[in-house]
Order: sequence, then structure tokens, then C-alpha cells
Amino acid sequence: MRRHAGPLALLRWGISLVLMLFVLLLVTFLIGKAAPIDPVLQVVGDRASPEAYQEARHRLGLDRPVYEQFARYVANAARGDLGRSTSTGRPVGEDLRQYFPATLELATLGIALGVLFGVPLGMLAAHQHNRWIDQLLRLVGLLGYSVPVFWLGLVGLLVFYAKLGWVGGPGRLDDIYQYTVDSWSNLVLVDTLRAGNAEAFRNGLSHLVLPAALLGYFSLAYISRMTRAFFLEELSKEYVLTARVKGASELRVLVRHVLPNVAAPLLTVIALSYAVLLEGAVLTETVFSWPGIGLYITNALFSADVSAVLGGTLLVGLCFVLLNTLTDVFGLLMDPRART
Amino acid sequence: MAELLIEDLSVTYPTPTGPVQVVKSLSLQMGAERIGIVGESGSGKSMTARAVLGLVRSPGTTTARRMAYDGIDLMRQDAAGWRAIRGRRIGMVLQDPKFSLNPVQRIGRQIAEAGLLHRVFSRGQARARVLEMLETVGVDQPGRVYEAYPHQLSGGIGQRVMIAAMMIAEPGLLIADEPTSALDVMVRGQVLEMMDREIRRRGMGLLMISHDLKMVAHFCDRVLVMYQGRVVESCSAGDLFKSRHPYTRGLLNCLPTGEHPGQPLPTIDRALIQEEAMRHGA
Amino acid sequence: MTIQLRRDWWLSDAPESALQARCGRFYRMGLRALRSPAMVFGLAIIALLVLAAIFAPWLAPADPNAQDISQRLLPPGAAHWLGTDQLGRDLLSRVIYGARPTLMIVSLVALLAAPAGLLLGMCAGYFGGWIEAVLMRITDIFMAFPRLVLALALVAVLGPGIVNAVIAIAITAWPPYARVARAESRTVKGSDFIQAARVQGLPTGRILFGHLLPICLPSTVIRVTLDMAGIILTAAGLGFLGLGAQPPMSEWGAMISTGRQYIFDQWWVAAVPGVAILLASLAFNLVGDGLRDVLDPKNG
Repeated sequence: MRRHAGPLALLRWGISLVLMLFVLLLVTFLIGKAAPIDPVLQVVGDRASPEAYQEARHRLGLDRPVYEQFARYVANAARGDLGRSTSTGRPVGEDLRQYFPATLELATLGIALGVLFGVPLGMLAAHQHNRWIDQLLRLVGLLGYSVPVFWLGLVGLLVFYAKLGWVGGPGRLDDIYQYTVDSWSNLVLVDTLRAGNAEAFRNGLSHLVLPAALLGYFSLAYISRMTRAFFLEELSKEYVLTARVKGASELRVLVRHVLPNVAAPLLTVIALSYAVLLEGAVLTETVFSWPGIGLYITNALFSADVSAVLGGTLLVGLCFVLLNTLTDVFGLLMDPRART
Repeated sequence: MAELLIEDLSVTYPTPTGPVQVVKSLSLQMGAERIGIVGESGSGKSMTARAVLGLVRSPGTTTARRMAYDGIDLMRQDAAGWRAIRGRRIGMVLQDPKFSLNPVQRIGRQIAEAGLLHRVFSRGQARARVLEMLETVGVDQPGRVYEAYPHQLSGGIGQRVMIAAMMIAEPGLLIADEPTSALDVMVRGQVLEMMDREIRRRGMGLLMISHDLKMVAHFCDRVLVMYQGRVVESCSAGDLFKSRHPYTRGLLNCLPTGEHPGQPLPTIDRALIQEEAMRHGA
Repeated sequence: MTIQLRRDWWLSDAPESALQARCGRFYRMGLRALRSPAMVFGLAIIALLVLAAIFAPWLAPADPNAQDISQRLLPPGAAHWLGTDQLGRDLLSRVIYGARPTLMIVSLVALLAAPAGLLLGMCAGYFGGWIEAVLMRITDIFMAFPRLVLALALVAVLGPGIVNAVIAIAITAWPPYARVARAESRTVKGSDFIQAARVQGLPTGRILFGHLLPICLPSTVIRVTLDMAGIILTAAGLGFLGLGAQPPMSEWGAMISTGRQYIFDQWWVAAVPGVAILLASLAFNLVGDGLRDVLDPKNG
């Protein structure tokens, strides 16, 4: 089916995005409403007088009809006002700004590893279809998406940190560096470089290596499987034969001929994988005591901090939705057949 | 003059019920002439072409008493050896440009590829050579086609592009696997004439594979008729229509002519052919 | 015509009734399936899982909740094959009993999400037009939501427990099934036998359930089986965070969580339940892959 690129497709994509964001906000709003916790009490405390209660209730807009509350919620969210966290006492938005970069750093490194190793491995597997290397890679991939990531993280810590001492333990930096490095971007690698502290940088890296490798393996399993599938399908096509007849080497055929043809669906797979990694970080962060969004949400969960949980959910949901709709754009951009 | 020498070529595939020979003991010798191979689907025509270029992929195996081109032993080539031969000494034009051209690469680049790979010209000269080639194969507006993508071209132009791509590295032998079967009938003649002209001009050999008897008889000097992997008849094009071989006669009889309007078209009596084959000890 | 037990009846090339033909087809598929060692392995593990869940009281050597502090944190040995946890409970028994919440969640989610997705997808594919557009929009929206995080939020609100975990997971699990069903329905919609059914005047419901459903079923079954692997992992993740099956139910994810503090010295407490999760998930993946090869041999 030909997609007609240009303003119409862009408009459709925009509408799609807005619709998804709307539903996301609606869902988080409804969940918030369904929480058994009284938000007014959270603000004024248990001992407030009835008048103070009413006043707070009015200020929070809870005496207005539901749809008005929703509108207010959306307006606030657009401005970045997601309420106040009851555990940290700060605006949720501020909390998110502090914790999100850590997750971003981890997930980005993870996906980079996943792509760096996953794509070539998938290509290799497709090329060596059904030979032993293909079987081996399939097995490795299969294990990758059958294993509970958080458990593998624990085992990894056991083996590589406790027993072998190759990597740093839980947390992003050893305590000694924790307070000597200025947190400007909240990305460990960037901040330590900026401070010119090579030791701290190496230390940060040693802490990043294990969780990033874990997430990398997780995404590698999916990416290499899909790459293999895409390549297998293309390798049976005629233009590949033409390239071979011209005298192209196998490597050239794979990289210069097939890869551009699968670029669009492959990027889609990578984007989706990235979204899944952001989610997977939730559990991984708990295991590695990584101060990111995942840890923030789970901690908020246990202290019944509804605004924080919903704020975090909204942020992760936003990333998810953006990445999902981005994949539509890839198809339009990369395939010349869709552009005309 | 470069010669293609094939003696006793066989291509075998393993199947659950035992090995099957899709090409059986084919022998052929040709120089700068036009040879046609005709037969039905599954007769082994395309496999022969693949075997000559070393493109029979496992689990299929290629065996021959001898297979050589211009003195190069084609049975003993490794990957690097084949890369030097394909495109540069022997080229192959495939059937349908809709599928045989890379959909996400521009035409200019695709035509230049073989030339650049084999260093026939440098990167700087590529564009000029490609445009020249496009003109030679009869594309008007070569500049526009140079920048275009395959899906923007008609079948006729696409196939001319394919021929251009295969001739640009100046091979001595061109294999054409059903070169016009996917084209409109009206365009077929033009493309074939252009190909014929270029082949003659460059002193190349042509191995044309087709199921179209009339076309092969018209454009080729000699014809090989294949049935179930075996060459059942080999004759000059002029003698084709006088053939007495039951299979060839069968094929000829199937060609629709205006001679007996309203009569059902004959079909091939395979039992008869098997018998004949046994008798001739084929 | 009754089902006969002779092998040649099942493999007959000239079946004498629809029943015989159908039996023959299943038998042949079964044979093909069993030829793959991976598939056999997967099926064996699943069988083990089901047996463990049903016959736990008879299979487990000890009461999974029997605490004995004097026996705490013992390594795997003769008395306790997989060791004991921090409260002295036998790990082997806890793992066996742990099959119950796992299978319960997986089957409930499948039971809820698969029919819903199937129905939605079939309607979308069959009716087309604006119905399809709206339904697919809804599907896309739900597909774009983060499963785990949303489950977290829902469980936070509804409270922890198996039922809530099932609801939370099922809500985001149905979109892939809808997609698969819609794709299949779409391709089949215009085919002759559907047209014939319509011309015969069959009511739409009959067409959907009698004709369309059998076509969509194989792909959906494959998809569900493959998804189950992911659902097991998600459920384990929720359990790890304490949001799934509650104690004293010995859920594997929760066991990992409690074992976490002892990981460096008494590693088996956390390692053992993880292996169970891995095997279960692996089994479903293998069976799903195997089913795909059997039901649709084109996909290599």
C-alpha cells in the first residue's frame, strides 16, 4: 500500500500523536482519581479544621466538575506542573528533571550496545542461514528474551562485582566521588568529564558497564532476531542476485545493497526497543540502586506518593508514545517509493 | 576470441526422496555467437546460467568434466576468483527489472557499480560513462533516468538499464535469462534489437535463455532444446522448425498460428517423449 | 464414523469423513512438531509446570510455608535439594508451589486478553470502513502504552494482589492479538468461501464465528503462546516489586526480591526462582516458535 508523503501524512501523524497523548493524560488522570488517597488531606494534614479543608479543596479545584478538573490537569501538565511529591516534598517536575537523565544515560548506552552488536550479528545469522553460527545466535537471542532482566542483573552483580571485582557495584559512583563531582547535566559521564576528574569518570564507567551491558543484551536479543528476519527476506530477492552477478563481495551485498532496503523497518525496531529499555530500566534500577525514573516510581509506590507515581508514569508514557509515532515517520522518510 | 567450454555439466539438489539432477550432462561450446536455450519451466535452463556464474548455492552442487571461459577454469574458482569474473568477463541480465534492480538506489549508481568495482573507469569518469551507456541502450533523457529510482521507470527502460549495467564493465559473454518475458509485447522487439546490435558491435557472445521459440530462432545462431535437465536437441536456428525430435515438434506444435482457427491447441505427449528418450539412449 | 486407534487410519491419504480428515491433520501436525527437539523440550517443561501447579501438595517434599529458623539459609544439599531461604523454608517446595501463581496469572491474562483482542480484530478486519479505522486507532493507542509502568500505576491504585496484576497486564496485552486477527480477517474477507457464506444468507455472527474464527485462530494461538513468555516476565517483575501474588503465596518474582539481600553469600535463595522463571519463559518461547513452524511452514 503506497503511503503518500507530504503534508497530509504529516497531519495524520500529528493527529495520531495528539490523540495518544490525550488518552495517556486521561488514563493517568483517571488512575489518580481512583487512588484511595485523599489529595486534600495530603496537603493540609489530618488535623486541619473543616474550613481549612474546604479552602484547600477549593484551591485544588476539587469542587469543580470532573471534566474541568481534567482540563486543569492537562493545562498543568503542559506547563510542567505535575503536583508535589509527598516523599521528597518537591514539585514532581523537578524530581523528574533530576532523575530522568540517569535513566536516559543507561538506556541510551544500552541501546547503543544492542545496535552495535545486534545488527551485525543478525546480518551474520541471516547470511549463515541454518549453519551452526545461526543456531548459536538464535539460542543466545532466545535466552535474551526469556530471562528476567532484574534477576540477570543480580547474578551479574554476584559474578562480576562480588566474585570477580571487574565492575563497580550498585549506584552510579563510589561514595567518595559522589560529592566531589558537580551535577550539572545529571549524566555521570558528562559531569565527570566536565569536572576534569578522570578517576571519577573511570569510576562512573565501571558502574555503568554492568547495567548497560545487561540492557544491551536484552535489546540485542530482539534487534538481532528482527535484523535476521529482515535480511533473510531480502537475501532471497532478485536485486541481490544482480549485485552478485556484478561481482560484488558478500559484505558489499549485505551492507551496501540490503541494509539500505531494511533501514526503515530496522529503525522502527530500534525505536521500539529503546522504548522497552526505558521501561526495563524500572526493574534494573531497583537492582542496581540506580537513581533514575524507575527507582523514583517504585519508591513513590511504596510511600503511596500518588502524584510522583503518576508524574513518572506520564513521563515514561510520553517517551513511549513519541517513540512509537516516530516509527511512522521513518517509513515515510527512508523509502523513496513512499516519497513520490 | 573468448570461448565458453562446458563439458558434462550437472547440477544436483538433495531432496528428502534422494538427489535430483536439475541439469544433466550438459555440454556446450560457444565463442562470439548467439546461442539460445529453450525449454519449459523446470527444464534446467536458468540453473545452467547460474552454474556458469558459480551461483548455484548450497545445498545444490555443480559438477562438470570441464567448464572454462577464455582459458579460465570455472570449476576451480574461489570467492575472490568469481568476483573477478562476474560482471567483468561474464554478465547476466535477469528477467524483471521491477525486482532485479535495487529499489532504494538511484539508477546511475546501479549502472556504474560493476564498472567501478572492476576499475574499468574511475569515480570521476563514472557519470559520463553511465550517461554514454544509457544513450547507447536507447534511453532518451539519460540525465533524468540517471537520477531516477527504479519504480519510476517503465519496464522497457528498466530492462535497458539492466542491460547497460551488465555491459558497462565490458564482459565478453552475456547471459540473458528471459530478458523480455516481463515486458510488453510491443517493447520486446525494440529491446531485443538493441541488445542484438550491441552484442554484435562489441563482438560478444550471447547465451539467451527463453521459453519463446520464435524469438530465439530469430535472434540466435544456434539453439539448444532442454527437457528435464537434459539437452534433447542442438541445431542451428534455421533448422529448428524442421526438427524431427518429438519434444521439439511438440513445442513447435504448441505455438499458436492462424492456420487452423477454432481448433484446440495441441499439448505435449510426455509419455511419447520418455519413450523416445529411452530409445535414443539420452 | 468413529475415531479409530489404528495409526494408518490417522495417516490415511483418503479420509472417509470430515472427522477423519481433521484427525489426520492434527496427527500430522503433531508428528511434525515432535520432530524438533527444541519444541519437545519446551512442551516437556510446560507439562512439568502444569503438573507442578496441580499436584504441588503431592510433589513438594515439604510445606512451602513451614518456617524453621534453625535451618535457615542452608545451601543445596541432601535434605533440601535446593537449599532453604532466610526463614528456613524449603526452596524446592516453594518453587514447585510457585508454579501456581505463575500459571494462574498467565492463563487468566490469556483468557481475558486473547478473546477480546480476537473479537476486536475480526470485527475490524471483516467490517472494514470506519469501524476498522476506529478500532485500529484504539488498538494503536493501547499498544503505545508502557506495559510495566502502567501495570505499576494501576496496581498502586487498586492495591497489590493476583487479580489486580492480571487486570493490569491484560489491559495492555490484547493489542497484538487484535492486530493479528485483523490482518488475517482482512486477507480472507474477500475470498470466495466467505462470499459464498454471505450469499447463502448466513447471519454475520455465524460467518464470524464459524468461518473467520478458525482462520484467525492459528496465528492468534501462536501469538498468545509467544506472548506468554513476556507475560511471565512481567508478572515476575511485578512480583519482584511486591505487587503481584502476596505472601504467603510463594511467587517466583517475590522470592527473588527477598533473596536479593543475601545474593552475595547465599546466592541460591535468589538464583533458584530466577532459573524457574527463565525455564518457564524459555519453554513458551520454544513452543511458540515451534507452533509457528508447524502451522505455517513458510516462516523459516
